[in-house]
Amino acid sequence: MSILRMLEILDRAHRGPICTLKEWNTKVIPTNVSRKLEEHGLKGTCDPANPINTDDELADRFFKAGFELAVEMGVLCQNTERVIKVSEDEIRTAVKNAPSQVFLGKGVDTVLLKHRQPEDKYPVLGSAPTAVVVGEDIYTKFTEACVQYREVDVLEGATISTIYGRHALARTPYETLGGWDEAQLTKEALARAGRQGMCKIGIISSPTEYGQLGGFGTSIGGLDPEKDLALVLVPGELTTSYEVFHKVIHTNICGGRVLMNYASMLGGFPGSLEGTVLTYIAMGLLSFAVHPAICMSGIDMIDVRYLGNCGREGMWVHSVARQAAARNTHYLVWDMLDQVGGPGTEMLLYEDAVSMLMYSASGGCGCFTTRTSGTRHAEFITPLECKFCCELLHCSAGMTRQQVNEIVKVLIPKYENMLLNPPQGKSFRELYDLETLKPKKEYLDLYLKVKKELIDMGVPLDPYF
Amino acid sequence: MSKEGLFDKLAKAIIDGDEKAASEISQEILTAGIDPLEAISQGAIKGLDIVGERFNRLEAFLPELVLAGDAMTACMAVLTPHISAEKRGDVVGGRVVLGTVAGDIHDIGKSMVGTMLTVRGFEVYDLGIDVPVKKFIEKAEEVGAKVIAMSALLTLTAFYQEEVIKYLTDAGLRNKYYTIVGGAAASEEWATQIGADGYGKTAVDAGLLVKRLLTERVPPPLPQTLVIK
Repeated sequence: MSILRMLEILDRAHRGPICTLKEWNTKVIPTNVSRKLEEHGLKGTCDPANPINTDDELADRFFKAGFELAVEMGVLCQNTERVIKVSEDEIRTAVKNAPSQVFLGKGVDTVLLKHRQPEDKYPVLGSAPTAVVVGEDIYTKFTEACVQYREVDVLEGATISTIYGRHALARTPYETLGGWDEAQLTKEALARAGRQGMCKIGIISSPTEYGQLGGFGTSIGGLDPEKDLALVLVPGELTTSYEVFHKVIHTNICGGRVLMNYASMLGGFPGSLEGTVLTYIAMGLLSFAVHPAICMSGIDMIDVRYLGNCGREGMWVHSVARQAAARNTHYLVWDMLDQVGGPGTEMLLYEDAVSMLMYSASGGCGCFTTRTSGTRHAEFITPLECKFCCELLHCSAGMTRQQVNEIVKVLIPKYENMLLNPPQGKSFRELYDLETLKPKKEYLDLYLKVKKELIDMGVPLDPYF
Repeated sequence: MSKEGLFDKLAKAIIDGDEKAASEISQEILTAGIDPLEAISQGAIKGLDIVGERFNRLEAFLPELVLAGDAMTACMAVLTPHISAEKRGDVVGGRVVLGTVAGDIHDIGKSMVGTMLTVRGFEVYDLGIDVPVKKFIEKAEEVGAKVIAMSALLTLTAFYQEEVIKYLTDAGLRNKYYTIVGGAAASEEWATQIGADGYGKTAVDAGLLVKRLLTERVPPPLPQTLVIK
């Protein structure tokens, strides 16, 4: 990271044009997005009947419009309420300098993350589990149960919300200690599973910069900057914040690599579904231009109606946006896909299949897998669906978008009327044997049943556990 | 122009999110001697309902919702003072202090709730994001609010919803305010665990929740968390 470049950006965060957050969200974003869609003839192009886009020309038009949006808008710093603008040259330079492949992990657990095109034969890498809260008493055991499966390439890890029984309150020393605790417990779990070299994305339990300060790159027990990734969450549409900059700077000073993940809402401030595609593209480009030396970017795009994204609209938006960026840049992404069905339910497994196949066929690189029950219920996540998602990502490399679209059109109707009121399912403690760390028969049978169904539909999964 | 014509114009101003037009048409309604309460229910709220239905179908989006809420606020500012005190409670639902809790800088969910509460006629004091515990209470005391509404997107920030409730209890103020929680990090179980008076799964639910709390008038703290989902 160039200190001078970071200072230039921070200067803009303090001297750029003034704009309140409310004005940015309710006027600036929707007005500019709508205008850009109009200019490029992109309004009304959403095709929810075909959730997986197969139109390359459409994807390229979206990319062109998204690139222009990035240049014209910049990002708003929430703390200063000033806009950080970057030029077209700065965006092009930042994207050109972004890596197109990186090794993650160490030793036998090393994996190679590569930029992928749509329908690429190189597999997407999967991380698990995604950020559901798991009790302190079983955190290590749960993590060990997830990484015992070699299909899981990278560990993200559950959220640990207490430290020695105390709540890890955000922006307090509890959070700092919680970050350190997450790193410690994770290392123990990896060692027990024989995967010491596995890359870990962290610090998950870090809503502010304090958790990361406690657990990433610290000399006694922190995550290893050489093998692990620092997760930096950006809070809203085309925005950034001091927390984000703190984490980026800290990670780079430690010699680590940043995985930046930004949030977007379908039905939110970008307006239409097509508008959300544009902000996906724009924010991807701006992530690299505004935050010096990040390694990869990614999005969590959520439908406001049900706080997931495995409905047909969510899949369409994600597929066309991903294809647009994959076809026109070489930067790495690690996106999040959000299921709302609970563990032990058919709905969750169908959502997993739809989302993972979409992402693989659309040119994703790395993927946070399975965010069960919308992460609302503590311990409602199991290693089995994590394994399942990674299996889907790996086996679907090389599948065409057309093939995936036909499969997805059959699967989505099986659950879409449950998106607003999904089944909660059962907890890890109910679905897994905590001594053997194996799934109980009821869930294993369901998993094998759905697998067979998918194989019969043409998904090249291994039929065995 | 006929009464119905004015009501349609008012509805359109709300749908278009046009604060200026909403204010001007509301003034026209008063000048024409039309009952302001009727204008709100037959004009303004009709416009809001249309925007709400479009939002549920993803034909209208959050910006339209927020701007409709702002237009509604402008309309209410003109019409409400002309509604008799005994009838005012039919449209002005009470004061709500709203914010995203400390350590959390997510704005979208809170904005949606603020809009939904405004369109239901509540006076909303939006404290923004990353709001410290005491600020919720200080503002509620200052404006005479009835409800403290807290949003949290992250598990580790949701603990601050509990901290606010604990602070109210320790300060002897627990029976003065209804406390409601929401956001991706909240759930029915969480709300019950921390002794919140209410939980709404979506922004629309939040509006219904506050309406029920303030009309049913069971004093806080409720013996059982009221859940709308």
